[in-house]
Amino acid sequence: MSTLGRTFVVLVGKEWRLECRSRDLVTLLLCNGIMMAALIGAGVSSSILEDRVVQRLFPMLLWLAFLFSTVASLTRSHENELEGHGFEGLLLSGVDGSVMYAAKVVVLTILLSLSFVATAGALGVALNRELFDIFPHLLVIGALTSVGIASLTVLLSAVASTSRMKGVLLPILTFPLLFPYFFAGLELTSTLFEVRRLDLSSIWISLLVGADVVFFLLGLNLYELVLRD
Amino acid sequence: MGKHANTLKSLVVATVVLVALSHLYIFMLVPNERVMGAVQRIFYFHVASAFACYGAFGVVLVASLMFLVTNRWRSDILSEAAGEVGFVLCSIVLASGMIWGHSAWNTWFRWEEPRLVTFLVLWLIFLSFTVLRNFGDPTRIAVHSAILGILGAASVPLVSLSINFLSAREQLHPKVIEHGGLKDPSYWQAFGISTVTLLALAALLIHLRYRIGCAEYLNRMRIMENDSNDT
Repeated sequence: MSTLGRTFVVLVGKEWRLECRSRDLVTLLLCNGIMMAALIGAGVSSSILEDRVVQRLFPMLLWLAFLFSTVASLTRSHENELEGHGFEGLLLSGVDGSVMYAAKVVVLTILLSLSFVATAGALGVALNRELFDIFPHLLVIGALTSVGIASLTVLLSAVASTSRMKGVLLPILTFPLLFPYFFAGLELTSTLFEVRRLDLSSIWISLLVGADVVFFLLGLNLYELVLRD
Repeated sequence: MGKHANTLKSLVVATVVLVALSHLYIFMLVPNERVMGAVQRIFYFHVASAFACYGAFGVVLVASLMFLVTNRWRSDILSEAAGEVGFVLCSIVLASGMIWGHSAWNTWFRWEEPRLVTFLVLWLIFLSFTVLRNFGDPTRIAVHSAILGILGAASVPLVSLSINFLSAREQLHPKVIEHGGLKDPSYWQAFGISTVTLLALAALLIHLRYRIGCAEYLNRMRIMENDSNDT
């Protein structure tokens, strides 16, 4: 394995251990996702809306819950490392910024995919929807969207965490850029709930993969600039 | 200094003449449209502002890339100026589009319309850009806003593409140019003049905001130099 590859594996391990030790992000993601699901469930219960209306609204509610809980959870994700000068240490030791970025995106993608499935499960229970048979498909959609969301939020939370507003700025910077993911996720989950299987040749899958590649490559090239400046 | 003042003066004179001429065309010479009546005149402001807005967004992208490549502060100030003017133009496009849409089709906004949603997202990106310029870390703001400018530019085509994929729903937005509309020659003349006018106005505003930004920057540097000399 090349030096770059080894560094990447070491950094992924470091990010993963850091998360396992602190459990900050996973706690926030799960708590925020479940809270959102509970609030939505209380507001959109079948006693207020007809069951078929809830069924049609379900994909939209799921994406709202997931995106809001994700961005709210990531607002402080860079602050510890900035305050502890972790980035400076890594950069001084000669680690490439793009490798640090890729490692962070990989770990965050795994956490976000799990969070998506957990939020879907919680919302499914809250709104009485049957999701067991489509869980693997949901995981694929969650993973595809999570790559892009992680690519954007890793880069932008580094920007937001040094601002005067600290992490509070992150939602304002991120949400406008998440629209393609919202549309694609919404369409894919709506179709999935109707036909109970995922069409991998769908144009929305291509759009998601394309957006993932664009944002990941941009982040790979721009991340070190954010840290070094 | 004299050269800059002359450029500014000629840009101001040209813009004032163009504004007067376009108003003459839009409100005096162009006949009422057969179906929509006088409301159709909003088209000349709406479409021309949209072109100018795209232009401003292009300037933000180019200036952001230039800043990241050359690290020259003037590029950063240019992207800030274009971002602010673009935000105003985008607001005009959205507001005029809503007024026009409501009087023509009795609807303020439609999520199935690629152009409407693209402009809404563009407006949100300009908004976040402006917020970042005002609340970001002052020592790193240039790099941070350049990065946001590039991400925003990458996002807009994706949004437009994704709304285009939302099929099976009727699109209300008129495709005037694609469908060979504007039959009367005066429509085309008014459209051309209003587009050039808005582009000139945008260029003038960006130029003025850029000069203010440069003056502010130089003043800040002078104060810092004086402070360091005093100590």
